[in-house]
Amino acid sequence: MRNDFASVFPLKRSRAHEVVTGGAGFVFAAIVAGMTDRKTTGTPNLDKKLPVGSGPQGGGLAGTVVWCCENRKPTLNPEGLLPYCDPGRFLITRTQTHLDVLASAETALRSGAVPLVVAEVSERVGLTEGRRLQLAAEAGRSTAVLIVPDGGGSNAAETRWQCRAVMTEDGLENRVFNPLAVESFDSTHWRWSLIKNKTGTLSEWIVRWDAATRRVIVVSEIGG
Amino acid sequence: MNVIHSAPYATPPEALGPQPYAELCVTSNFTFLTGASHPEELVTRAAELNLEAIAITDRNSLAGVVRAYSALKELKRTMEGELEQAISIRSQHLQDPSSRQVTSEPSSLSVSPRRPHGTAHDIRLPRLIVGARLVLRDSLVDWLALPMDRAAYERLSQLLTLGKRRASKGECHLDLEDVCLAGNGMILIALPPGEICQTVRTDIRKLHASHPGRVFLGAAPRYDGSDQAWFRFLSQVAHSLATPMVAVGDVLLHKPQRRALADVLTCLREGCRIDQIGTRALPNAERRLKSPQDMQRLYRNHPAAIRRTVEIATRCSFDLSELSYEYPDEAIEGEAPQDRLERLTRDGLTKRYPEGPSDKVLSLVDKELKLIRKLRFAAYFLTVHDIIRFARSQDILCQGRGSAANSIICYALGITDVGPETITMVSERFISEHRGEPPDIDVDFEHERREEVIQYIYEKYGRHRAGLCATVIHFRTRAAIREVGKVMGLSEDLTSALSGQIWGSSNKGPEETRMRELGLDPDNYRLKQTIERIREVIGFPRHLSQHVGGFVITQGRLDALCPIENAAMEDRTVIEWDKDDIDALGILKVDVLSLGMLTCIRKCFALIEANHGTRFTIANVPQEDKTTYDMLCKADAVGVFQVESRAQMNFLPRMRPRTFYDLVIEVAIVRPGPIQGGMVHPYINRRQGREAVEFPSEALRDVLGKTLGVPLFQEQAMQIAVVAAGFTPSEADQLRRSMATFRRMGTIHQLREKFIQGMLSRGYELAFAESCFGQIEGFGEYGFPESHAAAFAMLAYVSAYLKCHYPAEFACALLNAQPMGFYAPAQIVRDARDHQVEVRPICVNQSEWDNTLEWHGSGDMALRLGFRQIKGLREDDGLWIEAARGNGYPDPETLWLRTGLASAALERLAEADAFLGLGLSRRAALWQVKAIRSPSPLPLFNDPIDGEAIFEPQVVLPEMHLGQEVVEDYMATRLTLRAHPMELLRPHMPGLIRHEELLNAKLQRATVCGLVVTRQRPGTASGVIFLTLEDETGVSNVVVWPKMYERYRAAVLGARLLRVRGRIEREGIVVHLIAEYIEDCSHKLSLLGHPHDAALTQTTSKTDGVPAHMRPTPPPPRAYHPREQSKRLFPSRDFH
Amino acid sequence: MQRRVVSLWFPRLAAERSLRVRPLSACEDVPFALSIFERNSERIYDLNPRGEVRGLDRGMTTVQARSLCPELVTRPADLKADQRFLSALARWATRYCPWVGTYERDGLFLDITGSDHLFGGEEALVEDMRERLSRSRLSPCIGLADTPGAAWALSHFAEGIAAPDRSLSAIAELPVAGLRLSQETCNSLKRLGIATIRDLHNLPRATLSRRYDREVLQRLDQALGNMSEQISPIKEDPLFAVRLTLPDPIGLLGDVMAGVGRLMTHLCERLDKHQKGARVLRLTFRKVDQDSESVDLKLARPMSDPKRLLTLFERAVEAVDAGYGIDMIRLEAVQVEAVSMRQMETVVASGSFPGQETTTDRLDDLITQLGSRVGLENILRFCPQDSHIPERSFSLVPAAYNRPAKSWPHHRPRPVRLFPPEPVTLPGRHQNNLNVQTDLKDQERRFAPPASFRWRGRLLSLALAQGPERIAPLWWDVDDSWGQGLRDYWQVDTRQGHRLWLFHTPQNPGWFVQGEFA
Repeated sequence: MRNDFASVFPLKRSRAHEVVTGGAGFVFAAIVAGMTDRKTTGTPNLDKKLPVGSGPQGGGLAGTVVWCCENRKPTLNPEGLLPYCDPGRFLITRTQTHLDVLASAETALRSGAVPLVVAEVSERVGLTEGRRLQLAAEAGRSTAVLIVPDGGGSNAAETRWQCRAVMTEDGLENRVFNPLAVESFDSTHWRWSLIKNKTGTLSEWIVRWDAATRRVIVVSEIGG
Repeated sequence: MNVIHSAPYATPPEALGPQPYAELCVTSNFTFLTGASHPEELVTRAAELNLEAIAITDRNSLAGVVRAYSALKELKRTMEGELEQAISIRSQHLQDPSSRQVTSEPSSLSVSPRRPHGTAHDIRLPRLIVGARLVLRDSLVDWLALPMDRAAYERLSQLLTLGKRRASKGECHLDLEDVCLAGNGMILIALPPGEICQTVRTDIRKLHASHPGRVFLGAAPRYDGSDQAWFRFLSQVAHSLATPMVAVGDVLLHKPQRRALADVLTCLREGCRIDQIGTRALPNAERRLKSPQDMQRLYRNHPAAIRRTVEIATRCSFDLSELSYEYPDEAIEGEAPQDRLERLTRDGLTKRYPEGPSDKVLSLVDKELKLIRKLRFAAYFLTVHDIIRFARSQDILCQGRGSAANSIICYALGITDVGPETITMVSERFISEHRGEPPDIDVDFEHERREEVIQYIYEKYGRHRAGLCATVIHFRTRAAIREVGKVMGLSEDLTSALSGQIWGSSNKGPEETRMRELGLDPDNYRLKQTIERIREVIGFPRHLSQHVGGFVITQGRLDALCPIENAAMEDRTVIEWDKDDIDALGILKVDVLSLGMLTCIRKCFALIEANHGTRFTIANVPQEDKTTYDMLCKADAVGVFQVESRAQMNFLPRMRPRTFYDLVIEVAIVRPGPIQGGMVHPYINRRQGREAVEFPSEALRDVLGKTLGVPLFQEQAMQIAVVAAGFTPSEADQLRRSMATFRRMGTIHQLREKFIQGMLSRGYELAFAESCFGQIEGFGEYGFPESHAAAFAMLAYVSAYLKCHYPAEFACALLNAQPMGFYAPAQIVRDARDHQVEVRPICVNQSEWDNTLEWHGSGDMALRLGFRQIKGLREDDGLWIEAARGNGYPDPETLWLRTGLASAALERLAEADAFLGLGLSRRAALWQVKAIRSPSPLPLFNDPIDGEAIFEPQVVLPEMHLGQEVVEDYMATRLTLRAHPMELLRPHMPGLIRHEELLNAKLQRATVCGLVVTRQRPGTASGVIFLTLEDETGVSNVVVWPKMYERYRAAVLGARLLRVRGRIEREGIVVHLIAEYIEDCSHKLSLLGHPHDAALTQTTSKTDGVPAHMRPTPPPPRAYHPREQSKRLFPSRDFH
Repeated sequence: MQRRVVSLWFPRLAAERSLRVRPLSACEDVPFALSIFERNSERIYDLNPRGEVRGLDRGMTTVQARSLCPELVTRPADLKADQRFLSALARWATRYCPWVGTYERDGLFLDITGSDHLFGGEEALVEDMRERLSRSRLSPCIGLADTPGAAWALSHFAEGIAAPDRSLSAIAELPVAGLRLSQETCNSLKRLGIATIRDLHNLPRATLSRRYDREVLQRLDQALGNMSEQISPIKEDPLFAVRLTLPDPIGLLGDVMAGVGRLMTHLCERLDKHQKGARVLRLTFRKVDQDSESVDLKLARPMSDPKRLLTLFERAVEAVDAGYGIDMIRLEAVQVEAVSMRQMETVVASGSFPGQETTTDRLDDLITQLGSRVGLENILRFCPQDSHIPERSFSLVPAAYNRPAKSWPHHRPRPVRLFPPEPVTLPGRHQNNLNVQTDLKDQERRFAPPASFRWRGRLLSLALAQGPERIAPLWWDVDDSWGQGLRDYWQVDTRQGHRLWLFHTPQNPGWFVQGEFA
């Protein structure tokens, strides 16, 4: 049976999800972050003009995203986030250790003050830690996205994704300069693979980001 | 720039060989504070890059095109004349050690196939396309407007005029509709903004509809990584709009090194500091002129866009030389201009030579008239004659000068008063046939009445035919330092130190040692960058201003010639070109200038006529007056035009002028040009007979005979070039011009080479050749032609004559014509008193606003100081005092009631001791006016019965003593009639000798003390500082050698009153004191004004409860530091 | 009893303070000055006697001063520190009498009425004062008289003691400036020949009041004691600290929190009264074994809500080891900030009564909580910076002290991850010849991205490249990371599925990866 993309994306709230690290993994997290400030006016152009953090969504809270990372100097580039979400909403929590990343993420999830917490983790997430995060997400009605090293996820996660840019000839053809849309990336194609799913089957999609409507468009379904 | 695919999809354009390219979009620095290269640099660089053509397209302006035109002409001349050298220069350019950015630039690594060695005939110069970038009010698109023919040029000029006249100064308000209407005959290239929206398409369509076949879409690279995509997109747009795409560089820089300067200019424009510039900075240096190869590579997928540039360039055939220009015909009642000029000249000759002109004069007149007829300049001379006639009829003093004024015709017409008997009239300078340039006559008028003359010209020709030239205001050293320093984040004190103490007046830049002295680190990166930028920006145009008085007059409409814009002054219009541009295009102009000395002389003439009945004009002042020359030989020249400076006064006794021509030389010789050329000493040695008068050759005897073998005048320099270096007359003239205008282009070196080689080959010595050239170089900026010197010498003589025979009238006129000249009122008054003129103090019952003359008991005239000498008093107030005086004011209160002066003005009068005539001392008067504090007299209290004011208790204020009075005088009027401060201080300072004693003292050590009047460090004197110290007997010259300056720097720089011990050096009556010990005595000045300060230390002991040895010396309270006080009172002129 | 007042004037307070803190290293006897930026220039603010001897003066630009005196040592003035120092001196001076007030920026008044006998008389008191101060390397000028005005005049113009009831004769011969008149007034009086205080005193009062502002007569009267002048003693900043001493040691968390809660309520009341909010709180526990432990709470914004503060403290308190018991708790607001009425009103107007949290409250509390774990300075926001240089196009600023950025000025193609440049290695030369970009000339190929390269240990091959975007270093600043000169940036897609941001430094050929798009 084919898995419906809409059943797994946008990600399920109050759950912990995982994505495998790499540039495309970061874009995945950024897109998820972009979904949290979406107020459903139904008109994408109006959505874009909404002030930062306005209106209730997700857990009914302002759309701040807590981004926890271990590095002394984060590699996240706000200008690179712009096509997907508003970097002004990000609270970067910079920590010394891997453990602090998890603890901060837990605190943030549990507080219920933010709809999304992203944690860049450098080591394998243990089952206990994974479960604590899951519980915290439930308690705070927040979503967690963990950016994990390849093969470094936890069994407690609701879903795990692997993302990669696709270099199809099709993709190249689509890279047409559009002077009206400054983001010339809206035609980049990614292969999003759902490699773990607690409540459903695994699957793969070729997707692209449509900057004008700020939506993920499924180009084709590969199935799984 | 590239989208690289795994498969080739285009033919390599290089296979077809290099394509020519024409750059059609270049912003020069005449788009003020935007473009970062001079038009000359752009043109030269375009030639180096082998561009087919270059268009100078400044923002709504044609201001820079003539410079580019002249530069191109110059390049052409250089190449035609000295082909080999031209090429070597160019390769030098290529080998220039370039900045790291150049080496990084791909194009600099390639060797252009069109530039092989030695094939000089291959090199063609780019064509210049005149154009403008039209920035409109109602369109997002900028338009390049490139006229194809003269008619279109005229429309463009009128279009710009329309926009400029609508807006305030410096602005231009144009709409798309205006361009639609005026765009006939122009190539119109649309420069779309970064995004192409529907309105952009609409605008382009609109213009295309009205100008089919002449509208193009400009594609400029952006170097942001998306160029190929952008071009591809634009080509689609071009296709859909049917406006072919053309490549443009959108150039701002001629070379990548200018990127930094462009950023600084952006900061100046936006009013921010460099650290705040952010993305307004250029991200890279790619907006420079590029080679055809580079452009081809960039547009490799759009070769037609490159080809089209050349097609457009070919269609734009208009050349600035086509601007034939019609001078007003000046025909009156059917009499042809030439006939009229000849008639007027004949009439004038009869007046000048009542006994009939000599044959020599007649033949000269004949020659000149023939030349004028040939070149058809008669109307021009008639115009000048008419202006002069008008001024004379209004009693406005005037005098002509300039190269064309150096003619017998001008003498006959009364334009000049220096006859052919006095100076050589070189017809090559009069009007150069070869140059094809217009004659040049400047007329000086009294500075206070020049406006009447200007209005007369506007009235006669109308505003649509007469306009003032622009003056391009350039960044001068000081402004450049200040503004760039600010942009770079230097504090104001640092920049003022840079400009005042380090940079000096030269353009060379600061010396490292001097920077270190101030604690600046010359290796500091930021500081280095700042200094580089300052160097680059000096000479950049800043904005257009109106020329002091250069009028361009046309027969037809002026705005067809050049855009006209509004000037800052109401009802004045200015054309966009300056006088050099006008010259370069052969357009005639009349310079209507103003001169303060003429005001002074006219005022003096008026006083003499009123008091003595003698009616003088410049022409009838008795010539060759012996007593006048005697006076000048004694260096008694305060106030005398041109020869009153310190250097001139030192030179006079050595020169010992005895005839008018000596004065001509005097005026010309003490100038930076001859000084730098080392001409002064040889001349004076020869004149004093210490050196034989020799001529390097017989040919030069004719040229240099009058100046004893030493070249002093511009004409002589040019004649040497012709006679001794084998230049043609036009080359000689080019040489003269290139000094001034082409300094930065490097052509001077070639000319130098040619000049020196020419002289060597004709048997002259190298040293002589080099010194000749050195002098010509000096002339570049400061040179005097003989006729100018003669005109100035005439005024020098007249003013000297007046000073000699009418000292009171002269001093009075001089004071009333202030500010002008070298000396402050204090020195003028003092000089007058030295010449036995009684000077009377300011008095509310006697003085007028101006200084006046009163009859003296003995029949001489006494000078009464006027209210204008009071600091801070307004002219209105002064005039009210005169008007309401009646039979005189009995007391300050009455004056107040009658005139309604503000209490501040009353205080000014009291402080100036102007109530002394009423029997009120300064203090008493001040005390009285202090009580008047209401803003205006209240009628209620006018009644004298009202008792309050009358019964005020009598207050006895202590008498002011002389020292205090002197200080007060200085404070109020900057001069005193009482006593010189030094006279009062002398008893306190033993061991000094007075200035007047220096003249006869033994040549040994002596100590003088005086107020510092000037400090100078001339650029020509290698670090030597000249101080002038004034005491009660005169002004002493002190020479401070650099070593002494090191030791006594603080005193030299900071002191107002200096005591100097040194060696006396004397030559004739010129005395110098060579400083060996210098002491700051400024604190002594407090002895004058504040005796209680001195008494203070005695009073402390009375109440002192603390043992003396325990007590630290209290520092002086902040407000009472003596230095501060003296600074305000005795300001000196520093380092001018 | 006749009032007696000392005027202490520190004519070189700023310079001497600076030299006390950090003496000149070499010898003391070099010209030294403090500088201040004023009227668009760096000017001398204060200087030492050596500098004065060399002809330097206050107000002179430092550049001018250096040209007069190249060996001048300067430091920037610190006006606030000077003011604190003067307050400290005032506190010190209370050893002589309780009534001490500061005057302007460099003077003290001491009302020593009746306290001089403790020091053996006025002379001895002045002497003691002078000695102690000069031991502290300060050079005061001291005047003692019946009134502050007269004492001031003496200290500034003729140090010494005026006998009781002899004020006039003591100051009569001093210049009128001794009356603390404005510069302008002094000059004007002087020009009238009214140079000394005696001259002024001798004038009929009516004539003076007609010509001058009230200031003149008022100052004269104050000096001569005809008009009283108060010395206002220094005011200390309120101290936001409370303490609870417990009769019996406690150790249970609930007990401790109850104690902290009581302190918190007190402290917050005090903060509210002064319209302040706490930014940093310190809780100190003293244990029965005399050991003590403190915990700091740094807050995301100034707060004075006891309930929320208490909750935020909870976690930290949990970690405290009570040992044998705690017998004293001290709570101090170490750092406070003003909270305007308006701010407090908004809180009320937002519909939440005290104790109820708003959304922003919850976010602030979260920041505080996270901050207490990893440090408040590590909770950051992105802030756009206007620059072409990628590394400089944003900054990370502490979230607790900065509002979120409203919008981003630029939308340039930039990678989602940006890291310090990592050099790539190119495979052998012959491989490079397999370059796919056949439409490029040799010369240009040198600047186009390599067909394959090794990055992070993986061999990648080029699929597509777009560029270059040329960015030149800032010419006005030295940036070491841009020492290689300008950079040509390319967006490069590899066949292995990386989308990288590469740059090339043409003048010093090399390729680097600086970011990842996806």
